[in-house]
Amino acid sequence: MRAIYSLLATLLLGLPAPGLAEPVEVMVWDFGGVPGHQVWIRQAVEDFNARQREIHVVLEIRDWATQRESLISTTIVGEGPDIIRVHHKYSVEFGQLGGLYALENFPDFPEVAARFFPNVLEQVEYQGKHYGLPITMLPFVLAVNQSLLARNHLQIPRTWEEMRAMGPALKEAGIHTFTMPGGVNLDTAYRFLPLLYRAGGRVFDEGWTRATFNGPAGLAALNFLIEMKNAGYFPSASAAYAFDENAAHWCTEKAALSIEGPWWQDIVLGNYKFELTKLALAQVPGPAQPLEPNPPCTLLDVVMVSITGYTRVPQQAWTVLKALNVEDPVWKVPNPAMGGIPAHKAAYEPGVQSRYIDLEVLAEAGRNALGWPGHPGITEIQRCIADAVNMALTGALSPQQALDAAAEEVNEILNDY
Amino acid sequence: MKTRTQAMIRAWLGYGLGGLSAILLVLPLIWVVSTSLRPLSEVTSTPPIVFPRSITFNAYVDLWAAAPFDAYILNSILISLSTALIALAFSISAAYAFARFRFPGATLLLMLVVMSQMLPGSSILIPLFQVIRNLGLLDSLAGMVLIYTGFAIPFCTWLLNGYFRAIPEELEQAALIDGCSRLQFLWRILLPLAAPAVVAVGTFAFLLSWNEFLFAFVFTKSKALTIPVGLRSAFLGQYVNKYDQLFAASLIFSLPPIALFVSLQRFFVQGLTAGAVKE
Amino acid sequence: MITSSRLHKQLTPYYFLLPALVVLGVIILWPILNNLLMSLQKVRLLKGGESEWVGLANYAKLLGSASFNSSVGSSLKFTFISLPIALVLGLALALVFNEIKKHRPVFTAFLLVPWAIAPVVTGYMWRWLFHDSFGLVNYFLLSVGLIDSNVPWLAQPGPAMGAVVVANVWRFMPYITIMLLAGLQGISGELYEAAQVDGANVLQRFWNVTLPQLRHVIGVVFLFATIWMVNDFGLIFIMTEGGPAKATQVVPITVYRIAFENLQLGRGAAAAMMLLAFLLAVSAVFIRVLFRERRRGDEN
Repeated sequence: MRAIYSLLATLLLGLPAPGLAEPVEVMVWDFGGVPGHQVWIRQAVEDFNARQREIHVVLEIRDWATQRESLISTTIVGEGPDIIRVHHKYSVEFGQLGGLYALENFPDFPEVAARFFPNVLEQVEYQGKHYGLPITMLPFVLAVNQSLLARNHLQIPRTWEEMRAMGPALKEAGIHTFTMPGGVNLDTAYRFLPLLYRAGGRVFDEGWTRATFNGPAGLAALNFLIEMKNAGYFPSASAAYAFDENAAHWCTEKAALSIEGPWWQDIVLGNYKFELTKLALAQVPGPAQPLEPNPPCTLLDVVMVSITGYTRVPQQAWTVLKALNVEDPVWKVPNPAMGGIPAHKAAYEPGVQSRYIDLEVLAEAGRNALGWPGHPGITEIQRCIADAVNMALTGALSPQQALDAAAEEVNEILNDY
Repeated sequence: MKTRTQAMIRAWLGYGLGGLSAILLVLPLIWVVSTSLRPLSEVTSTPPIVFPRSITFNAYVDLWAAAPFDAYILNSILISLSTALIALAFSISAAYAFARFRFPGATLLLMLVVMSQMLPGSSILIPLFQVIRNLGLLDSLAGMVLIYTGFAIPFCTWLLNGYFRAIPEELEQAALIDGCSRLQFLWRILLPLAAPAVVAVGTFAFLLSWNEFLFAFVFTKSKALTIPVGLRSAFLGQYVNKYDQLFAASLIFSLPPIALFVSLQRFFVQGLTAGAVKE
Repeated sequence: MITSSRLHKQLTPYYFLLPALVVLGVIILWPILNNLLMSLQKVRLLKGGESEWVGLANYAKLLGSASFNSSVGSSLKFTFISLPIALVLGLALALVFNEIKKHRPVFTAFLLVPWAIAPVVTGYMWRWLFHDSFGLVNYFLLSVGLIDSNVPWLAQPGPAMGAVVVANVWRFMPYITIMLLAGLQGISGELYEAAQVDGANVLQRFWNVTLPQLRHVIGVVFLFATIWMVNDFGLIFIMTEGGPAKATQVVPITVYRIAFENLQLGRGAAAAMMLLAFLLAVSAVFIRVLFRERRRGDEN
């Protein structure tokens, strides 16, 4: 009898007391992010850690520009953070590499997925699996300095022809009609694509066997830019501009129009003290007649939060993912400080009050917008297109030559896969 | 008389030209200074304002809240000082071997020493990441010191080698005959004579570690973060760079290396070799 | 008969070399070998990391690609325009500073600043100084009347190369000056006195005493400055990202794009190996010169 009691006692004492277990650590890497987002996520992590004991989230905010070096190293070695917030194209690039964890592994994923817009969910999918939750979407629209237009008795343009027609009046006032980054960086490609899509063009053909951005639509778009530049309606220094310089040009009222997205409102206010009453958004103009048969639309970008493929704590990471990026109230109201509009359906229900200027324009653009094609070599392809635009803007090559050279390189990439 | 006027002219030229060139060299930085004293929205004013009408020190105050810089400073100082001392020790030793001995494989080894510099950083990154991970030194001060020592040794060795060669061999032979061991000679006689080069090369190794970004970024997670990593993650963003705080921070963090270098200036003087042969 | 003490004597140089060689072996040997091996394979990180041996195919592809060849040209232009300017200015500055005997710390503190500033800041500073509408360079040139409208420096191939060269020279000056200054300190004053007694004037003393004594240090500084300028990635990337129209896309930027953006690790490694081969050839020349010196010195 005593033996049984002592055995029981040993067993009971040997069991870990409930609630005294070590919290599981989940490491989150947040690359870049606008200041408002950073403020939110620090607070959200703190609150999460405070209200439960099983999971302890460690947050690291890291440099945006060098995220590739960081992620490639950790992926190759198989050791790194558990959750990352990245661009949606990484779902394709890293998804099948084992760098990201397929969310289909969690039984409640379909229910969570239903809370997001389907066309946005597509952007994080690769070969039937979803490698992240799309939390913000960034449709590209036209940012307009309406006070500049009003001063010169002009209307917001809806076509390229109208943009060209605005040129002389603004030039007299010493203002460029349109500005965009034209340097050797991906922002350039991201501004070219809305123009391409609006003209009915696409990056690839139906079967993704060859590049079609050098077709009539792409050529017309690039020719349009060169004509604007030659006429003095577009800065010739654009070939040196990255996002920074372009924003400075627009915010100091040296240009009236730029192609931007939901991040614009907070940036111009926070960094340049731009008067928001002067800001208006509109759809990106296209040619009066589309040049190719695809439906005109604009470009959509998506930011997603993913679980890494080499995580040791997928269950806990999923819990954190849901808590921070699905259930948190910040996603129920579109907030300009977050850098993008939520991809959650709940944010667009009637009665939601948002600080966004012209939110309907953004939502309308987002509803029909198309993202970059989800090809594994997409970064390289974006570079080729950016190079082509830059070459044409510096006059080193003619638009046709530049686009054709880029298309050749892209076709090689397509063949490689 | 003639030599005294000559000496005076030389001194005046020295101070005059030296002062002028020092100012010209630092002049581009005036934009950095003036940007750090203005709000970000005024960075892009036309025409560019060099001397702002109203100065604000907000950047200098706010930057400390942007990231745990006190921890970063400590790490940077520890890593950079250790790198400088260890790299110096190893390089002096190796340079001495190359300068004073003739041995088989000297040329080959000298080539190997410099070969390490010849790959761009992005090519060394991933293989080195594997090495450091296998050694268990990821995200550690020791790991960073090891890497930076490796980066610093080639130049330090070569420069000290060149410097040692210029010091006459008779000194050494005399010392050896007097019963001095090689190590004693190295420590007591050669090093003091080579003081300027040692200071120059030590500064080089220190600055290399102080300013290095790529490897510090990729190889650290939370414990061994240094100033350059902090600068980027705190002030450079996806859409916008906070130039005012970035510039303020970098001005502040350039002070430690400058202070170190200035404090070592008494070793950075000519004439230590004069009279050495007579001894 | 080799006694143990004689063996010990023969091994002495190796003992002195050991610590440095061990560190270098760990840090450098494996990366170089790894690059060599990878350059002979085709590694597509995105296809499950599969790799196949392709021998010299990567090298052939690169040598035949116009983009790689133009980046080699850009690297050569960048390095061999910056280098002579920086060397001459650095030597001049070192000679000037050598004349300053009192309060030298103040002057050298100024000298160190461009080197002590974080490289990321140097890059952004020069990027904005050369900005077309907000940059001080245009502002200065306009006010002095050297130009009559803003030059878009970084938007045109030629001026962009000029801009990065200026930034590069600026940033290398402190390093070159300080190293040469250290070299100057090592020249025994007696040599100058002897030359003066022989009736040599300032220029002759410079040519016959200073330069020969400084030869080794100049050689080392020159060699390493070449290597560092050829391999430099950060400054140009921040200023122009390799543009415009790839005018400033030097080889390290090409390596970065191939390896980290296109994720073609094999071809990236091949490009890096070619860089290595070129730099090895350059340093081989230097070593020969140095050793020829030494033999001449031994004969004396």
